[in-house]
Amino acid sequence: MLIPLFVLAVGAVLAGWVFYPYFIGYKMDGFWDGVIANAKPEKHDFPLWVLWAPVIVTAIGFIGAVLIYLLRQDAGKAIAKATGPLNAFLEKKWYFDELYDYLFVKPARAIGDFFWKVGDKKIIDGLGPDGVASTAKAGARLMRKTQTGFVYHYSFLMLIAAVGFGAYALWIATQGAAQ
Amino acid sequence: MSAAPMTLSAAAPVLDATSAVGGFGLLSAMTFLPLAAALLIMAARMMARGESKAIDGLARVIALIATLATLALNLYALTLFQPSLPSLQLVEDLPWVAGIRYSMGVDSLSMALLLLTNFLMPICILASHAIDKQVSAYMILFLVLHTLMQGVFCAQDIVLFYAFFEGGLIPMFILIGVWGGKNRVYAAFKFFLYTLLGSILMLVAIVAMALTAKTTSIAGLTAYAQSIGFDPQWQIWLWLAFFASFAVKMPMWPVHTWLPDAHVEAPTAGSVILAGVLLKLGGYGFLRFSLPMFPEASAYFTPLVFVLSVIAIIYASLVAFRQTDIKKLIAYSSVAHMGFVTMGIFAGGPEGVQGAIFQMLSHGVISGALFLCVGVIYDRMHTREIAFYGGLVHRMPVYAAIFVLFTMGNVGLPLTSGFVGEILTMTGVFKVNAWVAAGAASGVILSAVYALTLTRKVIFGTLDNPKLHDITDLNGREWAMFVPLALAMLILGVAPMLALNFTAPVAELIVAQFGLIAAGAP
Repeated sequence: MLIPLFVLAVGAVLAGWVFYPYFIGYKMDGFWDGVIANAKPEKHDFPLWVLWAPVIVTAIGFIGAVLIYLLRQDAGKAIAKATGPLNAFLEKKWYFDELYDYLFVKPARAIGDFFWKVGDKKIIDGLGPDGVASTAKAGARLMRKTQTGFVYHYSFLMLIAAVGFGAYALWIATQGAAQ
Repeated sequence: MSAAPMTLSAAAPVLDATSAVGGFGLLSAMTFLPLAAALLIMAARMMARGESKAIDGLARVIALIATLATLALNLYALTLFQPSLPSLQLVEDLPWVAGIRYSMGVDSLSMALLLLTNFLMPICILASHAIDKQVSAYMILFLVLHTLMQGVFCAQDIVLFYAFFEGGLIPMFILIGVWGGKNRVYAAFKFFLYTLLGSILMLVAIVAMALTAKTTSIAGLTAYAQSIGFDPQWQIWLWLAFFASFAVKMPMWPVHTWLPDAHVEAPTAGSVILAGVLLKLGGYGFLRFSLPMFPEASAYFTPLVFVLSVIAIIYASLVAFRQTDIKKLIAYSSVAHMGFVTMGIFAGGPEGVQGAIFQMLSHGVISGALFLCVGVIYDRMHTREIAFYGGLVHRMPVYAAIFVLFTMGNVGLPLTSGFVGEILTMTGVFKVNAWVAAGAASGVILSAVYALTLTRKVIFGTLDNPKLHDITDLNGREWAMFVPLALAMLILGVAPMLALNFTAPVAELIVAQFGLIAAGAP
């Protein structure tokens, strides 16, 4: 693990020196070649504090780290205690994970479950293949009940049907006669 | 065929110069070689009077040799094939019955899907190692299915196409119903009923079209549609009838619910063929029939297809996220990925159609590989429950690498073939409707959600389940299955132009056939 870290450390120190001319130095026209609309700010246009700000912030962080992690190792706990809620807030990474969990993950789970268990199983399968199958089954069960095996049931049905057809035929005939 | 004049010079040349070069009978030989092998196994079975270990072993060997030989014939056919022409090649044409002709031929769309089929089949035979009951019957059915799938892509008569298209149902129905899991009978019937309902409507439409255009030749029907054209009112009904069939095959939301059940219950190789080839029949049908033959109706229904596609992409991705069974998760992800295909096809531009064809090839490779990945651990542990696994990387490093590789393909990471299909179909759709493209793009994010969750739970983490302690990494047979698939995915991802240039002339032709009419030109 150390070798890659050395490589990265060298890059961290020297990358700016190497690439300065290309990114914001005299070679920048050739490097960007119109990729970004260049306002071409001259270097001395910046206020001095803008140039120094990164260095100062880095230095504060460096000194703070040396103090808390090396020289006064109990200071970290003391600061955490003193800042209470702020410390908790930062330790939980601004609660972004919890926020995303609440905003995206939980709803996605709930919607996915709904589509699956209600959409697919209940609605589509229920009205579609399963519904058709159970309707066919229920219809067949109903039809089966008419097949009792008793001769007088069947003859009664035949009689009813004959009367029905006869009535229909008579009605047709009288309609024709009436015209 | 009908003597109707053609508006597009290249619309339907049934017989052209290239057909003479092709060597008569090559496509038929290729298509029916697996069937011949199936008959051979049957004969061997009969001579041995029933089941025996020796016949099982012989059946495996015959099936592997037959599928490899078919692949070889397909590669030979590829050397005779001229992809720069959008026309039918290697044409065979014989009278069959009642004016219906035994007419075979391929253009580059057919050829690409044939290559996919024949590429996956030997891998499927290798993946069927764990089958231990009725091995010879299983191999016979697989070989019959192989013949029928090839026939679908080669058939140039619409009734012949229908015969192959429908015929494929039977072996698949038996494969799921006999060699499937616990709930196999339910799944097999669901698969059969859904598919049959769609196909019956298509059959009625085919009869109506044949009576109107006085031909059953696909080229003749296309020529008729492009010159005289089916009556726009009629087109609506014909389109819907074809749609019923292809939407079920695809499958599109909301007629997709047979797919997760069929996949979960099917044996591994059945899932590979289902996802790899049978789902592509829907896309093939849209491109071969719906767009060129019913251009007005296709344009009319484009919004419907867009809406259903975006629903499929988002809905299926969210459902995939919640699955506890690995195969079901991949099945739902297939529904989402097929949404990109339908969306691309009906976007109607060159990017959309090319992207859809590419996505079909890519999905065939990637989802096939993912089902094989499930098969590998299922063969060892006999469960597909995500919760059972975890930390496989500690015991199966090679398997973990393969699994992650194909998961990345499924997510559509650049340099895998999955990326190309998604970006092309989305570009194609974006030109027509930005909202649809935005909806589809959100599905890309969701695909990362379910795919990465699956990988984390199955592959990474700690190995807690004591039953997994002795699980072994890939063996030689499994290496032989995955290496070609991984190569195909990466080659298509790094050099997509290989496939895109191959299918470009046909894609342009379909775009023209759809576009000219739909735009109101004669």
